[in-house]
Amino acid sequence: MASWRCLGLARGVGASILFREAAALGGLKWKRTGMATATAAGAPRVTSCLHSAASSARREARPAATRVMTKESGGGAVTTTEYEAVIGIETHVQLGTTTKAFCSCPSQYGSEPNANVCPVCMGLPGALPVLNEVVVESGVKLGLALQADIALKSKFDRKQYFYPDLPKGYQISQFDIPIAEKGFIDVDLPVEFGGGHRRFGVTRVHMEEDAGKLIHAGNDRLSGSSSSQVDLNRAGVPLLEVVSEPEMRTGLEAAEYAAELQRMVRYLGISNGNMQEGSMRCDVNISIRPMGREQFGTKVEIKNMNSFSAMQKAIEFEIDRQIALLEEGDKIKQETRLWEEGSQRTISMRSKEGLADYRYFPEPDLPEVILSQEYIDTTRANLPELPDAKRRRYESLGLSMQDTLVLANDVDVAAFFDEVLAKGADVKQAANWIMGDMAAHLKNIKMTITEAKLTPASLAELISLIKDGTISGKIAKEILPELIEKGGSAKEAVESKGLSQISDTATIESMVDKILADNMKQVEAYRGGKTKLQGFFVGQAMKASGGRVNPGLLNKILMAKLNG
Amino acid sequence: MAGVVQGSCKMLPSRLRLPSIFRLSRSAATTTCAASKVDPPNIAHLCEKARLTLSPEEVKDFEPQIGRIVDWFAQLQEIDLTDVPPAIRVGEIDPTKTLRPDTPKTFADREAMLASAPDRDGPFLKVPKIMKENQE
Repeated sequence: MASWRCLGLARGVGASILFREAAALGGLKWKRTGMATATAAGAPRVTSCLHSAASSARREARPAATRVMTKESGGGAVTTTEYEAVIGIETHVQLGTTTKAFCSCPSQYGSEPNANVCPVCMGLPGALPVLNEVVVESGVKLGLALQADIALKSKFDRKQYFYPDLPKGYQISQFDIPIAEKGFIDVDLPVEFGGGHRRFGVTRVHMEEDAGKLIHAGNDRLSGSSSSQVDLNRAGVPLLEVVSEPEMRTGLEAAEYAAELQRMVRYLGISNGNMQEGSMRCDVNISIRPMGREQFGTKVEIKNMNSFSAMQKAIEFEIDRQIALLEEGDKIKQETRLWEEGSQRTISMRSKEGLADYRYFPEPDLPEVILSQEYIDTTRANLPELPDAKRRRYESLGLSMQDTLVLANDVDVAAFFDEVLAKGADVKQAANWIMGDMAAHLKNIKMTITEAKLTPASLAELISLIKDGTISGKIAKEILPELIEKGGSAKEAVESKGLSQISDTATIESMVDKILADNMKQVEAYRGGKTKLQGFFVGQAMKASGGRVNPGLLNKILMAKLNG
Repeated sequence: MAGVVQGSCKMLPSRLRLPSIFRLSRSAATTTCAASKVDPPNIAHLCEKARLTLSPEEVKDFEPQIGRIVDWFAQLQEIDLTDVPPAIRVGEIDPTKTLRPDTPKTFADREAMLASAPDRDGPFLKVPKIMKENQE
């Protein structure tokens, strides 16, 4: 939805308008937001509009999964090591349930601090958790969407650690028997990066609860404040943790994996997937190894990336950093690093020498989660069309991959497009109007497609009015903003404004006669050989009719009269 | 308790570490159960995990006591569990009665509950300053 607000690109002319507006539409993903241009080196470069930041940072596509380091050895001979990155992602998806995972406290974001707490989520003695049924449903939905095996019997465990945002001293999570295992995500890589299809394995999906929020007042290092503040509104809010196989090889692949997961949870309606608000948090594990080696290198975890673009950049930075370390003969330290958006680099947060000992054991306060095959089958049957299926369908409708990716990127845009098609509109026309003028105007007035008053039926009507010649494309463009802002039927707007196209031969003839009579000088000049003046007469007719005259008919009649 | 029986993974999965996404190795972990001997408790390690500070005298005092408890539970190690599927829980559960509808309810005694916190700062709970390095 932020996508509609994201267009940071100047409006162009001609064919590029469509591309740029289309890019704006896909603005949630920076990869779709740029115009690829060629650099001197021939590598594709993309000028991007980054999410809401709308910056015009230049992004470079990594050519391949490998970076090559060249090193001169003593005798002047050059040895080359090619490296490959191994990337796995753990994603926490905050579910959009009304209440928390194990108690009935409201779970919405933005309440007064500590407004939504009770003995269960504050971990008071004797309080008993009871699982929210929507959490199970969401886990099953996502598991099915990932084509994973759903556990008919799964259980909860306690993951223990001490931290002030965790009042119980443990997090209720799922350890050895998660709700779903062995799934995958299918991804279409962006056209401007060469396109292509990838499948990445998903190891598991498990249900757990979020911790509260710690606020470190002021700058902790400088203020010298001796206390931190705790807000437990988020404590107990349900999460699904999705763990990928370490199958990504580039920052782009990792960002695409995460973007597809975001689309998936949005299509399923189980989360808003918003990275800026922290509703979707990705932790990236990354290691490098010489090409061809099977054994993994030492992995480093990166946190704190709040956009897909940041994720890609953090990974690319980290790959370079690790290669440089190995080339220098240094060892890579197993640690957690934070992405610093300001300096565009990763910084060490803490080293992880000993693995954390969470002392998991089965949560005695909660029974197992038992699902019937019937429940799973019903849930499967009621799943909405998922992003990959939608893209395949759009392609089969004859849309280009670029259009397909843009339209399917945002679930609301895709739903709008589908409804316009359901009203019988031409596929290509519907796509062009939605990605072009509609996206541009929505962006101008900072409105989302769901907020627009223009209904899919009305847009379909507008398209059919152009098709049957009632109005010209130009008139349609003129009335679209009003339809978007005020709503109503396209037909009525055209009629009430007297905007329908003039296609009546007699009317056009008399209009042309008058123009020729009023501009005798130009007529003589034209007949004397200045045929370029044809444009002048067309302009006069358009002006006189308010742009309503049918251009094809006008030309025909004009030429007949001028030359006849 | 969980830390006490490190080494007896038949009983408690707690000794299993959170597998990294690079090596999810449930099977590998379970095969380490071959030794059925229960290790004696490491009081220092337990104290660290439980954030407890004990004096050397107290450690001396507790060590045999906790050791006896562990030994008592260790009798379970003698049971032959070959071909016995792990039981998550004892007894039958009616799965229709274990879930709760997603309907919000505000806890009425919230203020009394918050008032019992050791320290508060406006609407927040106040805790000793947390160093970022310690974050989980």
